[in-house]
Amino acid sequence: MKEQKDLEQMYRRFSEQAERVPLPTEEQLLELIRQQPQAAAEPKSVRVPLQPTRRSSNTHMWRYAASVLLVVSVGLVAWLMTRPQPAPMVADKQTPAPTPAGNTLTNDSALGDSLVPAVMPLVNYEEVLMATQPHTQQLTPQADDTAAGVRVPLPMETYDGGLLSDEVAPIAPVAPDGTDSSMQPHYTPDYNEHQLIKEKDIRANEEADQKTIQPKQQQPTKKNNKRKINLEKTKKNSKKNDVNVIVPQNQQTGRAPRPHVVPTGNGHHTTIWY
Amino acid sequence: MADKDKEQRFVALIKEHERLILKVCAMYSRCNWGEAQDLYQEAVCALWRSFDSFRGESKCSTWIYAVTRYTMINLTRRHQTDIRTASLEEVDANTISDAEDQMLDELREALDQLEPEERDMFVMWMEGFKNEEIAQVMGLKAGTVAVRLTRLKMRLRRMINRETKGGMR
Repeated sequence: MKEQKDLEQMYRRFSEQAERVPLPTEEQLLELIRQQPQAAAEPKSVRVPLQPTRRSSNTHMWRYAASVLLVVSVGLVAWLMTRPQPAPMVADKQTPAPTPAGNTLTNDSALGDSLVPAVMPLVNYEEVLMATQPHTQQLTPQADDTAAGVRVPLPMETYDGGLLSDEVAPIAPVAPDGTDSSMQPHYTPDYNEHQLIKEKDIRANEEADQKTIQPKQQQPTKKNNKRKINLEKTKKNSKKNDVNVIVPQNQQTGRAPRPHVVPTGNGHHTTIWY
Repeated sequence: MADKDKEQRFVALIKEHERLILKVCAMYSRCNWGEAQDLYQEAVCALWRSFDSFRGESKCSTWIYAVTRYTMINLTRRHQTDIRTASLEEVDANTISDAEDQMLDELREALDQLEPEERDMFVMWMEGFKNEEIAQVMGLKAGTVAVRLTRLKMRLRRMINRETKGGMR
C-alpha cells in the first residue's frame, strides 16, 4: 500500500509540474491548425491503395501466361531435338538427272558408279567423258585448222576409226588361231589356259572341302532331352525294383561299403550298405 | 462558417484535454518539458488532421490519447536518435524548476526502465482510464490489459521500494 501511495504521490507531483507548463492559447491554436492541411481536403483516393486485388490478379495472369509460354517453348525445342532426322537425299541411280541443256545423264558403265556424284554438276556428257577417260582424249581426232591455226576437236560422229597422221598404230596381238586379236575385245593370249587351271583348282578345292566337312551332329532338342530323362528314370526305377537294399557309395572316404542292419520300424529289419 | 464552427469545437476539445496531451508528450520526452511543448504542437496538428475521422463512438479522451500516442510513436521512430540518445544531463538541464525534486527523479528513473507500452498503461491508469478504454487505445483485450496492469503495478512498487532503500542507505 505504501508503494501504491508513493506512486500516486509521484504522479500527482508530475501532474502539478505539467499544470505549470505554459501551453498555446486558443488564438495560437487556431493559427496553428489553420496552417495545417485538413484531412477532409485531401482526396480519399490517395489514402486508399489503388485496387490491389485487380493489380495482383493482373500480375498473376501475366505470370501464368509467361509460365505457359515457357513450357510450350521448352516442349517445342525438346520435340525438335528428339524427332527422327530425315534421311539424306540420295541421287536415284536409275532415274536420269535432267540437265539444263536437255541431255540426260544415264548410269553408264563406261563412267562407273563411283564417278557419278550424288548431285550431278551441270556439265555436258562429252566433257565428263573426256575428263574421266584420257585414252579417249588421245583417240579423239583433231585436225589442223589452217585458217585459224588452232586445233579444233572434230565431232565424235565423224571419226571413222582410222589413224590420224601424227599417231602411232598400236601393235595388234595375234591370236593362236592366227587371227587378229584386236578384233576380239576381251582376248588375252593365255586367257584360256589360265581359265582352265583356275577352274580345275576350284573344283579340286570344292571336292576336298566336301570330304573334310563332317556331317552335322544332331542338336539336342527338347524331345531328345525328354527321352534321355525318361531313360534315366526307368534305369533308376529298375535298380530300385531289382535290389531292395540301398547301397550308397561312400565317395568321400573311398572305403568299400559294408552291410548294416537297420530296423525299418514295422518290426522288420533292412540291410543298408554304406 | 461551418469551418469556423469546426475550428472552435476542435480548439475547445483540445483546451479541455491539453494537460493529458502534455503528459503523454512528457512521458515520451522523459519528462523534458521543453521538448514536451514541441511534441504537444505536433500532437495538436495530428489531432486536427484526423478530427474529421472522429465519429464520437468512443470517449473524447480515449480518441485524443490514441491519436497522441500514435503521433509520439511515429515521431520517436523518425527522430529516434534525437529523443532516445538524449543524455540525463541534457534532460536535467531542460527540466523546469523542480529538477531537484527527488520524487520526480524517482518517477523518471522508473519510467525509463519501462517499455513505451507500459508507460502508456501507467499514464492511463493514473488518469483514471478503465481497462476497456485502455484496451481500446492499445488494441488489446480488456483481460490482457488487466493482467499486464497488475504486473506493471507490482514491478513499479518493487522499483520504488528498491530506490527508497537505496536512498536510505
